[in-house]
Amino acid sequence: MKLPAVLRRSVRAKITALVLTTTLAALALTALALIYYTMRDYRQTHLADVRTQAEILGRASAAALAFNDRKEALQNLGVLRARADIEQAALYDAEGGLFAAYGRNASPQVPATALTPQYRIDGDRLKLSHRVQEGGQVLGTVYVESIHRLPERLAAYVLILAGVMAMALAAALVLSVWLQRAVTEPIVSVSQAAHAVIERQDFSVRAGKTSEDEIGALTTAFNRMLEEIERRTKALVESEQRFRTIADSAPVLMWLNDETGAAFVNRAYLDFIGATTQADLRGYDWAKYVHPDDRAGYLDAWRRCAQEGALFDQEFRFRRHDGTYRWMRSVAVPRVADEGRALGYTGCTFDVHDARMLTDALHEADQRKDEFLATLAHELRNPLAPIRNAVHLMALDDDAQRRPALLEMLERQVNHMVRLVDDLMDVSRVSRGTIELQRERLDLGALLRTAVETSKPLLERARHRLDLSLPAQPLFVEGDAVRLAQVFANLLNNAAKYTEDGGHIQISARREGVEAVVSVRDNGIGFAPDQMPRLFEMFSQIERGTARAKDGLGIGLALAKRLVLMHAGTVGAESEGPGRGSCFTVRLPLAAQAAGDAEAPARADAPQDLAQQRLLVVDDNRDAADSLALVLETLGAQVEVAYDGAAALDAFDRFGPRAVLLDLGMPGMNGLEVARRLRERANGHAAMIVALTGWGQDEDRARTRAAGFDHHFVKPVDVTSLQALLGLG
Amino acid sequence: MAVFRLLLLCALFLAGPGAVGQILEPQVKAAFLFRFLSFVEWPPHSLGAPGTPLVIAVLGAEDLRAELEKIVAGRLVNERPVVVERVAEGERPGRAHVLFVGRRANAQLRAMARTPALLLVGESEGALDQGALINFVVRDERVRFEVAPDEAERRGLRIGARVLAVALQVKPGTARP
Repeated sequence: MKLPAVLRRSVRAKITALVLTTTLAALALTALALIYYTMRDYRQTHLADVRTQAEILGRASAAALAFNDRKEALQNLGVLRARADIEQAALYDAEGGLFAAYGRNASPQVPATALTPQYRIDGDRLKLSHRVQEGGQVLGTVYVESIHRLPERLAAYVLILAGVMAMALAAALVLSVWLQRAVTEPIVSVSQAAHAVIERQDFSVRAGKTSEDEIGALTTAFNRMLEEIERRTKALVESEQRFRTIADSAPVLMWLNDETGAAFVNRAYLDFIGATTQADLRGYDWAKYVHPDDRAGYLDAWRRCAQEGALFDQEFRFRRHDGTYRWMRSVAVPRVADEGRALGYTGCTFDVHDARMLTDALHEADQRKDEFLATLAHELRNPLAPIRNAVHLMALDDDAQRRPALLEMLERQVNHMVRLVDDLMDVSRVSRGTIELQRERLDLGALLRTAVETSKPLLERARHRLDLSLPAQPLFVEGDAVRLAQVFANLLNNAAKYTEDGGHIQISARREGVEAVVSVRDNGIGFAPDQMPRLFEMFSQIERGTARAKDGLGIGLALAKRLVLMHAGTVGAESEGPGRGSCFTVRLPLAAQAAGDAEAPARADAPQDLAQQRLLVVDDNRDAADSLALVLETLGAQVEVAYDGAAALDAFDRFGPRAVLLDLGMPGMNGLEVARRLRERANGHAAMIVALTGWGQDEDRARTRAAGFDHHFVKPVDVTSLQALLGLG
Repeated sequence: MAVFRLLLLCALFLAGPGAVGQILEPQVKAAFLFRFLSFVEWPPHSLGAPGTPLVIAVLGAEDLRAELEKIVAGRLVNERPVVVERVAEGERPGRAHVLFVGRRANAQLRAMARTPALLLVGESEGALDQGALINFVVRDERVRFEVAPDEAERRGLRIGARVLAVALQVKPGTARP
C-alpha cells in the first residue's frame, strides 16, 4: 500500500498519524459498543417497563373486561395519563373486539381488533399487545403504544460521543506531539547529520545525542561510523595524494587501463601527449600515437599479452605532443580481480630514445670498428709481404746490384706502415682530444706545396694530373704546420685514391672575406647525396670502387675534419653524384695581417753540424737499440748502446754523451729512474735526455718532464725528427 | 361453533343496549356466572384435589343453564373442569360451588343462604337481602350485578376487589340476621 507523500517523508507525521488512528479506532470501537449496549439496554428497559404497565393495566382491567364494564375500563385506561411516554392504549374483549381506547393527546388511533400478543417497534413507537387472563381464562387484550425515544437518544449519544472523541483526539494529538519529541528529535538530529554528510561530504558533522534508548544507541553508532568514515576518508585521501605525488613526480609515463581504455595516466603521460587533465583523455586512442611502422607489431604483442594475461614489454616509437617520435619502452603487468577476472593493465612507459640512439650509434661504431680492424690487419699485412721477401732475398743473395732497389722498396713499405701507425696514433689522440697544436703563422701556399710534394709518389704512381693554383699574395693562417700539412695530404690522398688512374686533381687556394679557402677537386667516383653525412665519420669508407680504394683505413677524412675543426675552420664536400667527381673544401680563418713581416720564424735550435756527436741509446729491446744505434751511426754520430739501466749509468759515466736516448719500459731500473739518477750526477745537467716510449699521453709527457727528460718521442721514432732534434746530418 | 357464537355475541353487544332485551339476558348472565369462577376464591377444602371439577348449580333457570352448559363445555378454570348441574326446586345442591337461583325460584334463596363456601347468585330485586352474595340487575338495558363481599367472607368466600370495582352496588357489612 502506498502511503501519502507526507507520511513517507516524516517520522513525526507517521507517529502522529499512528497515534491519531489508533486513538480514533479505540474510541470508535468503544463508542460503538457503548451505543449498542446502551440502546439495547434502553430498549429492553423500556420494553419491560411498558410490558409491566400493560400487565398492570390488564390485571386492573380484567374484571372490567370480564363483566363488560366499559366505564371501569376507561377509568383504568385513564390512569395512563400519569405516563407521559404512553401515547395511546386500548382494551379488547375476549373475542378481540375493541372494548375501550385511550389517547393521550388526541382521539386514539388504535387497531380495530386485538393483535396477537407481541411487541413491535414502529418508528419511534413501541407497540405492545398483552393478553389479559384470569383463572386461565382469556378475558381480552391490552394494547399499549409508547413513544420509543431510541433515535433521539441515539442521536444524543452519538453527539456526546463525537464530542468526547474530538476532545480525546485533541488530547491525544497534543500528548503525542509532546511525547513524540523524545522519539523524533534524536531521529531528526541523526537525519540532519546524515543530510549534511551527504550534501557537503563533510564527515566531521556529528549527530547530537539526546536519549539513552535504542535511538541513542543508534546515534552513538552513527557517530562512531562517521568517525570511522572520516578517519578512513582522511587516510584514503592522504594515501591517494601520496601515491598521486609519486605517480606525478615520476619521470616515466604511468598508466592504468581497463577494457574501455585509459583509466588513469600520470602527469608525465599528460605532458607527453600534451594534455592538461585526465578529462582530456576522453576519446583518446593511444594506438594512433604509435609510429605507423611499429603499430601493427605493438598492437599484436599487446593483444597476445592480453589474451595470455602475460607481462608486456615492448619498445616502440611514440608520438610526443610536439609531433616528434620518441623511442619508448612499455612495461606492463596485468591487473587481476580477486576472482581471477582480468581488469586491464597497469604499466610504465619510459623514454629510451637517447639510450636507443646511443646503442644504435655504438652498434654502428662497433661495426665500423670491426671493419676497421679487418682493414687495419689487411693494411698492416700488405707491406709485410714485400718486406719479408726483400729480407729473404738479401739474406740469400749477395748481389750488390739489386740491393739499392730492394732497400728502396723496403724503405717505401716501412714508411707506409709508419704512416699507417701514425695515422692510428693521430686518430687516437684526436678521439681523446690530446693533440696540442703548435700554432704559428703559416703561409697556406707553402704548406700546400709541401703537401703536394709529400703526396707526389702516390699521384705519380696513379698517373694523376695535378694542378695547383695559388694566389699571388700569401695566405697567412694561425696553425700547426704539421697538422695542416696532414689535412691537405689526407685530402690529396683521398682524391688520388678515389679517382681512376690518370685522373685530374686540382688544388686551389683563395681568399674569401676573412677566410682562406682551399679546395681539392677530382674527377673520381664521387658520392651520392645520402652518403654525404657519413663521409667524415671515423672508419667509414665508400663502397670500394677501385682496387686502390682498399688502401687506407677510412680515417683520413675524419682526421682531416677534426684537425680543421681544431683550427676553427670547416670542411665540406660536394659531388654531382656517383662517378661525377667530388670537391672537398677547407675553410680556415685568416691570420691577423699585423705581423706580416717575416716569413717563417727561425728554428730555435737550428740544425748544427754536430757530426761525431756522442750519443747513448738505452733499450732493453736489443734489436730496437741496435737498429737505432745503426741508423744514428749511419748519420755520422758516435753511438754507445746499453741494454739496461745500470749499464746505461756506467756507459754515461765512462762515455760522457751529449744526448741520451732512453727507453722507459725496462725491467729492473726503468727509464724514469735512470733519468733521475743521471740528473743527480755532476755532469748530468748538460746532457740532453730524450724519452723513447710507446706512450704518448699528456700525463706520460708530464711524467717524463718531471723525471728530468728534455724530449719525449713516441715509438717508432721518426728518424727525421730525431735527426732534426739532434742536429745530425 | 363456539367461535361463531362468540362473534355473534360480540355483534349483539355492538348492536347496542336496546338489543339485549330478554333474548340475550340469560346468555350474558351465564357468561358472568362462568367468569365469577375466576374472580372468587373458595376455601381450599371446598375445592378438593387438583383437577376436581368446579360445579355451577342452576335452579329455576333452564335457558340460562342451557347457555351455561354451552359455555363451560371443554373449558378449564384454574385448571379445573367446570360442571353445570340442574337443581330441582326444593332440592339442595350437593357439592356445588356456585348456585344460581332463577327469578322464578327466588323463594329458594333463603333456604340456600348461609350455606358455607357456596356462591349464591340471584337475579331479583333485593336478593342480596335474601341471602344471595351476588345479584344480577339490569340497568340501562345492561346486565350488572350487586355484591355483598362481607357476607361472602363470612361464608368462607373472597370476592376480589376488582369485581367490587365493576359491581353496580356493594352491600356494606350487613347486620347479622
